[in-house]
Amino acid sequence: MATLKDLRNRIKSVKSTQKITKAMKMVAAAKLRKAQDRAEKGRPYSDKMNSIITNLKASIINPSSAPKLLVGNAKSHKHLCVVMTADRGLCGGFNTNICRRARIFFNDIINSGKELKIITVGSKGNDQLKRMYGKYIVEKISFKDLKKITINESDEITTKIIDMFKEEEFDVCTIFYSKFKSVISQDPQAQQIIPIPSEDTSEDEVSTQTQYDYEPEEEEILENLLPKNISTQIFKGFLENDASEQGSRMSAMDNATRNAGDLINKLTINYNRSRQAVITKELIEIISGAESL
Amino acid sequence: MSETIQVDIVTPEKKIFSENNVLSVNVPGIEGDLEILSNHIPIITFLKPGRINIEAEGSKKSFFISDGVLEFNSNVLTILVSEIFDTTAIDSTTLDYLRNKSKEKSQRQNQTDNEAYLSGRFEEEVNRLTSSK
Repeated sequence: MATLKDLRNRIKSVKSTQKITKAMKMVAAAKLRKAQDRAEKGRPYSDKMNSIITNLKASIINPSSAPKLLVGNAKSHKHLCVVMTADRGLCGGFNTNICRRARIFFNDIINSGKELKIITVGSKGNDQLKRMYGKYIVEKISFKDLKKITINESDEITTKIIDMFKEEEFDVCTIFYSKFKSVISQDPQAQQIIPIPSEDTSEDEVSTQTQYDYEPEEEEILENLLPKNISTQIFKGFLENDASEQGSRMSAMDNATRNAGDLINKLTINYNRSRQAVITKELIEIISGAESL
Repeated sequence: MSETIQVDIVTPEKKIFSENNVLSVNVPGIEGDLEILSNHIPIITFLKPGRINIEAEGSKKSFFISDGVLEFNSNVLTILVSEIFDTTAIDSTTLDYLRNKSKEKSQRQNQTDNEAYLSGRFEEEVNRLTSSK
């Protein structure tokens, strides 16, 4: 049986753990507000960018002359997957969920005999994936030292991806990130960025019908706009991920704090019981000692 | 038809400007400046470095942009820019930043004609901003 001192020590250590998780929750909550704000403010840009690209795609009559980034190179043998995760742990299932989503996708690709290449963004994703898919990882990127991710970082990744595409190292590129829905719900997503997936025509029929005037020509616009779009989508991934990470951490730390509280209650009851047991035992010893005299 | 248009200017970080009582917008299109009034035909174009002048009912606004994409459709104008500065709020630090950026751009190697033209324009515009301050 645990002695009184042992129990006292455990209560103390759980209490200090609780303090840490509580502080982490507070920090996450403060960061979440900012991250959520950024993610929500960033959405209009990427949405608009998407709708312009969709419009342009619809207006292209001859797909063979269209930029490869838009329509792909008519193959889907080599896949590049960009898995975006956080650089820090202790955020519940956040990193694991993204990796799980990615793993399902990877297995599909491998099972169908296609070629797979992985770029991991964020160190946690790399840690989780390198065990099983180490030989497929071609590049690991981490912005651990940066306080705030800006569009420059996603430009950097985009340049890498486009260079790889030009070298024909892959045919299809998909990014994985977690879409922020609410504090308790984040949705891991797979989004294909090269080639641009064809939209369901039913959804955007009205907007795609409009005939635009282009300045300069469609092809030239696309040529310039597509890299920008990729960068925007990756940036969106960063923003959504950031918000999701903080949200996920906040609820994870909230749970941890609550669990620590429960544990403290249990341990305190145990402690008091054994303290009383010790007192009773001592009393019995004294009384029975006195009786025997 | 209404005489005013809805204007949204967005950056990757946030919405900078969003109003629906705009009478006219003057933008630096890549193939020449454009004035957009209501019922303009749908258009998508790139923007070059320069000023966006917005005339709304009872107010005027002016922004400096380094690049952008413009979409106009059924009286809704959307401008996507990566960087934007309100010209009234530009101070010496912003100017320094812009000047550095313009230097960086013009020194970049292996520029295509288009890029060289754009960085030249950028420099010109920054100089104009400097002299107007």
